[in-house]
Amino acid sequence: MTDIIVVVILAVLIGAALRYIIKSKKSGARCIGCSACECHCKHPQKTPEKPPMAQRAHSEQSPCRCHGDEK
Amino acid sequence: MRIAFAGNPNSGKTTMYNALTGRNERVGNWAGVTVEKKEAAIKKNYCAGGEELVAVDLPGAYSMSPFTSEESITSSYVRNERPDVIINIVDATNLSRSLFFTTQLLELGVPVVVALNKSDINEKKGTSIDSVALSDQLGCPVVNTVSTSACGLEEVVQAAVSLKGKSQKAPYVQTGVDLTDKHEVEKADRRRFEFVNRIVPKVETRRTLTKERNVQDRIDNILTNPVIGLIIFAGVMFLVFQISQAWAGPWFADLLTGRIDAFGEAVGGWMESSSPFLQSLVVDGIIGGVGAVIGFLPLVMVMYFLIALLEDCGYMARATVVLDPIFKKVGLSGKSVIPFIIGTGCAIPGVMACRTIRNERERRATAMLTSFMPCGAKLPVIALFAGAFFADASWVGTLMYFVGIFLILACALLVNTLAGYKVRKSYFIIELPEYKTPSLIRAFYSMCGRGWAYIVKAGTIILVCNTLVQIMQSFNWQLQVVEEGMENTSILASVAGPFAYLLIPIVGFHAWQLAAAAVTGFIAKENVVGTLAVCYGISNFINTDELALMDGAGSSVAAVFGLTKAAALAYLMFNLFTPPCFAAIGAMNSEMKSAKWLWGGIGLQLGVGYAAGFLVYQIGTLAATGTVGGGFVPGLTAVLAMAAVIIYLIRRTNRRLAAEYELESNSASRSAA
Repeated sequence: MTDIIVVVILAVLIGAALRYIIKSKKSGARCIGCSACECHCKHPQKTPEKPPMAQRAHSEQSPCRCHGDEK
Repeated sequence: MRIAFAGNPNSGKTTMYNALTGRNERVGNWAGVTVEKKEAAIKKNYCAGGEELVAVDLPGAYSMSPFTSEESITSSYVRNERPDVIINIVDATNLSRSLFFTTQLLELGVPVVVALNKSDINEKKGTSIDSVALSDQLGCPVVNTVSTSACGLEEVVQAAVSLKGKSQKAPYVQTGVDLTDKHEVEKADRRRFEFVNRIVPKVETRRTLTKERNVQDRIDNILTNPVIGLIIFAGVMFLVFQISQAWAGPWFADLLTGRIDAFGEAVGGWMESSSPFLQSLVVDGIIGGVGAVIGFLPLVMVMYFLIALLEDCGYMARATVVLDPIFKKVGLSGKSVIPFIIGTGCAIPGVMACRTIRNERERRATAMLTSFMPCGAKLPVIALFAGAFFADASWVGTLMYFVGIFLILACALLVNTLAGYKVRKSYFIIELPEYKTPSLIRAFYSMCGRGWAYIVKAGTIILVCNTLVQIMQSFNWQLQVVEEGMENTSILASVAGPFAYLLIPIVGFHAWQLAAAAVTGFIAKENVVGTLAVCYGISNFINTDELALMDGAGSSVAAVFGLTKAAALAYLMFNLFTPPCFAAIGAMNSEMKSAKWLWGGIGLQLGVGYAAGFLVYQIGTLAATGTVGGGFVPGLTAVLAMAAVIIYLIRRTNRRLAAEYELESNSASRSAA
């Protein structure tokens, strides 16, 4: 009888944990209970393409060529 | 109705958003904390008209012409999504800089309400802003607010609601600017700043001029000094570890682990008549394994409390200034410091904060190196080994952070060399927040929030992993229960066994338990502690004195593991500096947007972790015993092979650069001819 109770409790606990993990992943969370993220680490929205250099308002001090897609 | 919150970084947008929506999004007093758009419904008590209001928190931006991807999010959203109203949160302590973006928002035609935030700080400094006059100048409502105390929020929301459907007239309109001409764009920006600087003297009265130096400036001279500042930073980090790992943390942890042990005993007593497997699963696997991880919760929470205090008082921003020149020397952006600091909490937001870095190569390099900073999940692992092998020495934790910084610097040079990238001049501009007495309540809430997240992780991922580990340790491949003492015939031992051979050069002997812990650590780093607890049957790692009485009488944790101090340190470093978890790898994948860089990053982290562990163990053993440790030859072979690959890649890059240079020279010569 004790075994049955223990198995049922374990099944409920593990099932709830798995359900939580799956639900969090489906809602986009990267890290489950990450101790610094606090569920903020959702998958990012598609970020827009970087605008071309000409649209930038501020000049750069350094003679960089960093605005292109460098590999 | 959608209300967008836009403004410069660190103006108080997320604080206001949290206050209005009841959410608890992360705030920090530097740029890079909010890197994504977030939406939530505003609380009913602010929605007087009954209509549902949705607040959209946007990343900070200095201009509608974005430099970084998170600024692009803001720019795109306000241009394309056309929110019903924009609440422009303006930092009242820096009006002239903030109004540049305000005038751009006003040109969009979307109704704008200016929330003049941090008004309380202005009051203390004796600076007053005539909000009525400012409202006249800008042509939009201006409301004084203090986000931290939710002051003025009702008024600002009401003002926003009242503007729905109305148009917005811009006080300053810029048209006919040729955006392809950089000089024309600069001239246009200067004209805009001139317009702003004409408004500011009409509305603002300052008692303290910016050029006057005050006490805070004098303190900054010391804290941001390249030498003294670094020493102070090291001292502060040491103190944080000392308090969390050696003083307050273990005191609370002892109380907690006592309760966990009592609970385990009670459950064990109740399950006396149960099958041995179930007893072992529940008591050793679940209560023992999860309990071992939970036992470190007080240490982690105390550490987060102290770090929250440091952030709130304004010190952490100064720490980034101290570290900036060091990172610049190795070709990283000065802005790389912020992801590294954020990464000490968790690698994932640290990697995501790399979006604030404009240069793609620097961004990718920073994303790759962020996980070298020990994150919160690694704290229990550090605490376990510091406690079991080094008598709770807090220098272990501090050392790991500085080793992380050293590895970042060394690997940054390596990455730049491999990528053929010459170190160029870069700049780092950060607004140093005002010093203030840190709020104990905010730090307490931050600590509780993180503590809760830790418990959630323990109750989900750690629970599932430990259950699986215990089951795999209890059964062999014939699905028969393994006898006590015969765990090396279990499924877990046979799966982890091959990996254990790889660890011999790091720990000196074949230990499937250590391999199993290292592998499960890739799911969540706390699993290292949980798996070790399950595999070795130890549930209380905190009170190491009491662990003198173990199965086998007289054994301590160190002896149970069978590790020397050098091996323990090596194994710790292996776990700390290899990829932290799959979630962090996923974040790297999202930010790198290049399979080559992603796999390069993973390879670099694995190689560095392995090499660091190997060198520490072998050199430590040589120093202690006069001979090298087990697995020296295979380990040396592996490390030399990695070095050979790196040398080959460097040579290939140099050949490519030489070929490109020759091509350019030939083209230039032909053009001249």
